[in-house]
Amino acid sequence: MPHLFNPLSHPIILSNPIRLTAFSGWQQHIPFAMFLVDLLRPNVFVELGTQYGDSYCAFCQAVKHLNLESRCYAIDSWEGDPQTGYYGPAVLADLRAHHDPLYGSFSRLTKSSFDGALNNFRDGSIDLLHIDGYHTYEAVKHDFEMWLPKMSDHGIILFHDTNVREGDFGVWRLWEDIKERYDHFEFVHGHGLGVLGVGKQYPTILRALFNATSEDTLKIRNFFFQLAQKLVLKTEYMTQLTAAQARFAQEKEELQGTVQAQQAKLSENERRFAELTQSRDRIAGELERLAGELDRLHNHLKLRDAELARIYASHGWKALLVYYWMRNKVLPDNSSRRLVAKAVFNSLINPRQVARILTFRRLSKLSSLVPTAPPVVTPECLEAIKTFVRMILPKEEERLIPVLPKVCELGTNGTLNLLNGLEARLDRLLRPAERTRVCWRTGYREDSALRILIVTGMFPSLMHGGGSRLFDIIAELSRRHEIDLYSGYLEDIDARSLELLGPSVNACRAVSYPMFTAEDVAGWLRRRGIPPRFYDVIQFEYSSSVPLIPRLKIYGRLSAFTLMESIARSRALKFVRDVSSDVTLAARSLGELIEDCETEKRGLELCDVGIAVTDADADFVARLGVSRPYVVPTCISKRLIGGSNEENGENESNSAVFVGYYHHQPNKEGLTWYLEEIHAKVRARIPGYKLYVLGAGPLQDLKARFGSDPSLVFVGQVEEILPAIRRARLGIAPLVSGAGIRGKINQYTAAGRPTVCTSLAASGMVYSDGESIIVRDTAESLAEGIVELLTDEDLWQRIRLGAIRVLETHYFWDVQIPRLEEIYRGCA
Amino acid sequence: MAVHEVDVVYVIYGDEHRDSGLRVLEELLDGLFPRLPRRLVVVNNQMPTQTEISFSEHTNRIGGDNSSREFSAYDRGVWWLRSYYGMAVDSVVVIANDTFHRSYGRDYLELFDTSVVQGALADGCLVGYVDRYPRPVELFGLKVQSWVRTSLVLARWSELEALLPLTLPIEDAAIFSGDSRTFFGIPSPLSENYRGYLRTWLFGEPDLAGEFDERWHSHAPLSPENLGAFQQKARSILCEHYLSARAIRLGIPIFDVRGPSTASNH
Repeated sequence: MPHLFNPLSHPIILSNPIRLTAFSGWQQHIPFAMFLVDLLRPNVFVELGTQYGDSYCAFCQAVKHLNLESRCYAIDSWEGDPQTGYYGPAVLADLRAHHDPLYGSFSRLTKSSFDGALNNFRDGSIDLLHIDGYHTYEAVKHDFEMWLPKMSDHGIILFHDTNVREGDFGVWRLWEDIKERYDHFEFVHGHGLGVLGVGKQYPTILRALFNATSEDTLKIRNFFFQLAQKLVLKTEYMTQLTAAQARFAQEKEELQGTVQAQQAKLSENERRFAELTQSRDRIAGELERLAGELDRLHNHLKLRDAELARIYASHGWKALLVYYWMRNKVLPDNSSRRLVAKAVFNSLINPRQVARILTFRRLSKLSSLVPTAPPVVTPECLEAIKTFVRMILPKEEERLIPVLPKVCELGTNGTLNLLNGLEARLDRLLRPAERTRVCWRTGYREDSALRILIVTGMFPSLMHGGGSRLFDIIAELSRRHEIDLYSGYLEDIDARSLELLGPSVNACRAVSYPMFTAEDVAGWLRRRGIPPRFYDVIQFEYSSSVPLIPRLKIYGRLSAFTLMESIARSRALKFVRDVSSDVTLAARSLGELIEDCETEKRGLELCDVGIAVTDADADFVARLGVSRPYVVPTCISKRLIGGSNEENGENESNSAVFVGYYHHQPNKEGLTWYLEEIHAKVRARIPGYKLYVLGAGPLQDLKARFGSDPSLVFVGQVEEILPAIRRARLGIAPLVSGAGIRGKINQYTAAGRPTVCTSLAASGMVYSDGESIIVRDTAESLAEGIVELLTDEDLWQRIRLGAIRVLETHYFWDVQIPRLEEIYRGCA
Repeated sequence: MAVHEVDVVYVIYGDEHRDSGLRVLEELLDGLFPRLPRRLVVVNNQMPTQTEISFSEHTNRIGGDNSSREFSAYDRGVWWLRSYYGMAVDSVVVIANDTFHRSYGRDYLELFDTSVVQGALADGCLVGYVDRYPRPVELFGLKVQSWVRTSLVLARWSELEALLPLTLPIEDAAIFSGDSRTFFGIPSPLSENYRGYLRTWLFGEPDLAGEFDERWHSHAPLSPENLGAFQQKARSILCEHYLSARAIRLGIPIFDVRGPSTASNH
């Protein structure tokens, strides 16, 4: 063979295969495959078992390169087998992507079993067959026997893996069985390739291959092995190159990830930097403003010093010094001569001049409240000031009114500022008739949301009346305004209310009572970066918040103090009662009364606006020499009521209910009076009569005294108050002390139940006796009232419906919240 | 450096385990730092963020931030302690959540030996129970193999401050694909083996390298329905590992309470 074989006659054996995957073990036979195609020039070539297609594409490449008219067929399931392992459709897709554009014109990839494809070929039609399917002995023998009839008279069959003897590989056995029956040649490298001539006519060189001596066989094998090595090296190189590319791609991905992480960090830092810059600018602005203020004060001081120097240097001052020196000599202090001389002097001076001096002194006091911003004086403001001047200085009106616009113009330059606090005070000094015409607009936009800080000694808890009022107010206001809440807190009582209220407020700090201090609030505000005058309104609730007012006032533009109940009035009523019964108690009450008056007066004086819950409370505190507070009664939220006005028919016809918070002494006193004096009287006349006692607080002593009475049911605290009230036929409020508004009467009405109460309980409310409520003040008459309501259906309906009308007109928050907003905006 | 006070951030979600956890934590800290003043803030991630309650000078409860689960709450708690009390460099900060006393049993807490913990803190370590992967993983350019369990961690303020914030300052889009078929985005700031470990831990998928075979107690196959919940959980895990990775990068040793022999720093 070697002397017949000239490589230069078959240059295709030196071609570089176009398809070389890293997975194929066949590539070492590619030079021989191309050589065989050149020799045999087959009309039909079939490959059984193609997988990645390195061998098949090499045959096709040779066909295309030699410009033959061959037709080529690759037959495979492309799903794998136990020896190759199973794989997905990606393998065939990858092969198609390579094969179809290059060889699609003469070659087909057929996805089929070998037996399934058998009928597609006529007997004696295949010139070259490559069997490389499932490699067990049985499988390859079956393939050989099934496909042998299809071979032409110059047909060649190639067997791959004739030199693999591991596992269940059985090609070598078949090769041993059949090779002696046919012309054959075997390559042992690349897992072995058997070349079997099953026909009769072969080209000379191929015949020589089959008949090669042992020596030539070795030379031929070595020649094709050396050619194959070139491809192996190329494949290894390609594999390394691909791995390196993959690694570089992975590193690139990871670096991109790192870059993104760093960019995110950079963005975060930039955002924080921007925030800090903004914060710095804000502080710088504030410092600038304060520096300006300081300059203004320095200038003012200088002017004052200059004025004083001018006065000290004047002849008048010197004369005055001489006059004082002489007066002290002639009329010494505290001497009778001095007093007589003073009286004579005053009687000689013009009384009108005295009035004028006093008036200007009051005005200067008014303007010296030193508000700061914003110095805006609207026409409405000016009109109000004119009204005020007409009211207090009627004789000066003609002279002063024309001057006022100039004063107000000066005000815009900072000498007179009309802030809401001052406006509110001035507003309260005006008579109601004038007040209705004035609407203060300086500093506030009427429609904007307000920032409100509520400072309250007791938490807005649904467990008691005052707390419920505040709870409702916060819930209602928070729909339109931003509410911050600072409050005293008792975990046992207030936890549920905090949970309910939390989402409504913008920020909330609740503290146990020893920590309820101005320093603590200021610290909270400071930590949150709240500057002075940040809030539009600071609302102080309960007397316990009064000590906090001076320190906190600077954080708001308007401060308001609510008398949830005038404790002073409550104490005064108690004092009056004690005087007629127990002098010792009365003495103690008087001491407490003075103290409470002082606290409430201080609260009202310190704040710009006062709010009471009844007219009776407002009238009472006005007697302390402060402006009469506005009145905003305690109401009911419509949304809490639902279908309360509907009679559900589930109530017990012979029962009453008392609602109260028993840490509040007036509730306990009222209940005690009822149990001692009234309950037995009703029970005697109404068979099966029952009283339900609802609400939180200590009642151990009353339970000990009356707990054995089956007509008394101490229910305690309930989650939903209105359904609990509806179990009874009517509500009672037999109160003998206390002030403020009786939330329980509104609650009874909201639950659709009429009320029997004392006149003290009904005071300050617009329910009227006999129409919307039953009012009785003695034990006998109150018992009679309860009996009447329980036995007279018409009366029960009339009082009930009358009360509901009052509730709808006066005691829904829908009615009162806009009024509260007006007060906050200085427009009430 | 002598420790003068202990600042505690205890994170809960709802009140269910609040008191039981606090009791165990107080007992543990009584043993670790006897006679040292303690300032406690309980962060409840179910309470509105801007709500705070002070029961006494040193006992507080505040609303949390559940955006990154316990980590955003830790940040909020630490921020609150700092703004309310100010922090001394020598104070010890303890961060814990309400799983520390339920998930790992009593034996786990007994590993916190007083002298060992105090010594490690004095050496400027991040102290806790340390877990490890079979091989180092990489996240956001940092390598880590061992990390401290963040259900209970102790550190001096000087070290912890350097590690703030504890939440991951990286958006979901940079980490996750938003698709339940792939979960992680590509390219990813997480190394391939790390993504594999996380998939095994969260979704119960077999680790292709056969190195890691542990699963979260609530692991489940990923689906469009649970995608959001798993992203949140994965973010928590990333926060936990990122904390240790950053500590290592900053030269802060991680100390394993199981003993110095298991302490590791890669």
